[in-house]
Amino acid sequence: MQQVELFAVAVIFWGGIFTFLAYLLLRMIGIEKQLKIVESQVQGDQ
Amino acid sequence: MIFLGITAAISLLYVYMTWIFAPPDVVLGENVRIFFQHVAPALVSYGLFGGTLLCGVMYLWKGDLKYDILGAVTIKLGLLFTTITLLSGMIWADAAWGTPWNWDPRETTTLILWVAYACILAYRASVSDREARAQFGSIFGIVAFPMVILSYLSIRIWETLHPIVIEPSGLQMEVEHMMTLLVAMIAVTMIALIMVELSYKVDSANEKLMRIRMERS
Repeated sequence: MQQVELFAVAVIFWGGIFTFLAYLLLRMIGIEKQLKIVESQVQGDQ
Repeated sequence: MIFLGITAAISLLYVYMTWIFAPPDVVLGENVRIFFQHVAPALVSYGLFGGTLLCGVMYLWKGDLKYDILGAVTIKLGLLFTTITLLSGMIWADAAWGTPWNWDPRETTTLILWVAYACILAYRASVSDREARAQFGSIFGIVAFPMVILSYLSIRIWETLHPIVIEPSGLQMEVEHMMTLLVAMIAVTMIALIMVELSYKVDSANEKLMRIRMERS
């Protein structure tokens, strides 16, 4: 039981941190792609 | 990159000290290992909410949007670390006191703190007027901060099941545990700083994207 609790806390701690980091990285990639598209559209408009 | 490398090294040291170096506690036994993954994120979340307060004041003073973006970032990360604190605390409480939630003053004030900052994020997500979002978001970020102080002091104000570890005379724990907690604090603070920087970059890029789209439409 004690080992299960310790494992659960480790999963919550490191899982929370790495999941958020992965979310940030994926969001960064997505936004950069969209920015490139929008900026090329702006240049096209000009 | 150097900072990233140092953070990775200290994080590995933190894992080693938490799981191998730190001896079982006389009272808590092996559950003392939860302590290092519970207290460090709690204190770092307090620091992040302190950053929200500072960013709110700076935005209202200077009117620069970068402080507003940074303030929102500190709320998101503060909530992440408070969530880790609450969940790890519930597991610990279940092991130590037999039930995951006791409505203990520290638990209750931390839950209120979480709800308060979650409400600010919800407010920010629901307001489309950029200036109003920044102004009221900053004010709410400042107004919510006393909850952080109340959460920290709750175990001294009311009777509680939470042990008082940090006394004016020093930390009430074994030397090995003190060293592990110190490394835990450094590691989690450095991880939080990396997340703040990355999150700030993401939100700034998103801000730029929204601005371009607004100008085009």
